[in-house]
Amino acid sequence: MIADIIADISTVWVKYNLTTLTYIHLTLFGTAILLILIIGLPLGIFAGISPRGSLFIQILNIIEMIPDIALLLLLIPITGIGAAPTIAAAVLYSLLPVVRNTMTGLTTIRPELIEIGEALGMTGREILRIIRFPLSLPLVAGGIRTAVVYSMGIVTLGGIIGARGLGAALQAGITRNNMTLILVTGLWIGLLAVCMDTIAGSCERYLSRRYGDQR
Amino acid sequence: MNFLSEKNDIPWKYIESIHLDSLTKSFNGSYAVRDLSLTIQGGELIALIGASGSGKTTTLRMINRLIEPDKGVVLINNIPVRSIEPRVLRRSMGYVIQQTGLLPHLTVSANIGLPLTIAHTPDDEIARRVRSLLSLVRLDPDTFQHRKPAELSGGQQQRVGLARALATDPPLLLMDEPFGALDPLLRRELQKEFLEIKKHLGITIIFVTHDVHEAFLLGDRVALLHEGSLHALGTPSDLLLAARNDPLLSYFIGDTRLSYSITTPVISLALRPDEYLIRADDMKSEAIRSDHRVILSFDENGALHGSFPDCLQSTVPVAVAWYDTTMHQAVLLCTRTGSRVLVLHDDPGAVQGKDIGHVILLDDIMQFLFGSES
Repeated sequence: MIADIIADISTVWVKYNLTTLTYIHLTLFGTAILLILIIGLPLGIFAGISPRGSLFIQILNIIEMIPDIALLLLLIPITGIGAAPTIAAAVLYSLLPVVRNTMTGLTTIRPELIEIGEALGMTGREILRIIRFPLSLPLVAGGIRTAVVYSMGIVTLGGIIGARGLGAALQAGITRNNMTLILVTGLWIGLLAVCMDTIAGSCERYLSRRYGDQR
Repeated sequence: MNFLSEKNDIPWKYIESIHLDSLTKSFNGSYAVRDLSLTIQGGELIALIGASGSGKTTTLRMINRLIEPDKGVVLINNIPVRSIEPRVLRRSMGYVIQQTGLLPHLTVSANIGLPLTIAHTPDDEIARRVRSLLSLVRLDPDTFQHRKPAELSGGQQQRVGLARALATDPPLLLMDEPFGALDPLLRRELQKEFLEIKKHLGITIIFVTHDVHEAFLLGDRVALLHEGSLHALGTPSDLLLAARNDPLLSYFIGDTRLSYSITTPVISLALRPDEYLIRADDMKSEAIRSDHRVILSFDENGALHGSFPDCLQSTVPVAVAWYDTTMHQAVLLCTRTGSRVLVLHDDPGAVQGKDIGHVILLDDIMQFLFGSES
């Protein structure tokens, strides 16, 4: 019985080349996360120190209101199909939690810590570097963790617009009514998502321990 | 020693005087500080006392320019602080606050060394300085330097806050209710330790507190602020005497008497005649001077401990500043006026045969200090 199941899984795995698709899937996901960090952190810091910062949050909030599948399709006229719109959608969709949490983290520091920084003669930049940014890291990590979960979902969804990845295999399973393929791919994607979330969660916990402000 | 590589920017190495001249500051149309003028001498500890909202903290923050006055000037050694860049000005003065403001993600040594780090002092010099500061505030460097603030008790955190304020060896220390968040026992302990530390520092200290006991214990002079203005200024004993003719001052000091229930019978029940009197800090007859503090210590049974110092025999005028039954402690203040030694007691028989000058009954003390109201 178990031997049969394993045989089925390995047949499906080899036939649909799930190893390669996993590799592509994680590359798409990794690229998206990297871009989210590169764009989201500076945006979040800017939003945290600039009075006009909340404008970004407003814009990202509007993007967030578009259903993810609609966002994917809306991007096709701009970026064509495939990897580009998938990554773009993942980035656009996941920026909000990172930017918002970074901004919140920077602006909710205990006021006396800022006051002490000023009283010690620190410049605004030193206060940002030594006090505000480190202490916002637990919240930033929480935002990134949310972004990880969002991105994993959108990269999978990208399968329907030709982004390949594991979403493509899932799509193939649905169109061919191949229940084994659907189950194997679905469970595998789920497992990957749980792993990514666990890793992000550990980072968040570490940063909370290291930089958390137990009041 | 020069701990700040940028020290040249700071126009003074020590404080000769600080003048607050007609300082006025209002927030949302109501005055926080109103036409406040005050001269602080270099080397003294001046305690600013007053009720909440009397303008103590605002005054303190106008000195290091965390708040800019609407009117008036702050002069340090006759240089207006307004003419000095805030960053430079603030690096020339230590700042201690009630909430300690220790950065939770940095170790004790990183917190203490922070003022030096931002002044680009070399690491080995910072490490040396941190160790000596930890010793100064009586924390073992090896035990504490790698800990995080969350691993410290409230009292230890406050010591670290003090050490950080002293890191650049500043000639001026601003303290805003530093012991306010501590429990009474610990507060008394730290106050006494702080008096010791202060002896080694010889710097000017401006100390904000709403605790009149603390002000009288620590302050060379005490300034009572009321609704943003200076109401009374003087040495603790000056104020005690002035309180007889000053209802507000009397009320302020009198409040403490009530809160410490000075007239409760605890004292008379517990005192033993053969266990009289005083533990005096480094007191010798020639060392006694006006405003010298003498601390009476009672044990948990209420018995007084220590031998009565020679210097207090009959000739030295003393006033009881406060008496604290919860702490079994009293502070005597030698005054220039008066000719009596006041001994806190309500039974003259208990001290007969002791050569301690005049015995004044509790009621008399009350009268002496607070007029005839009690």
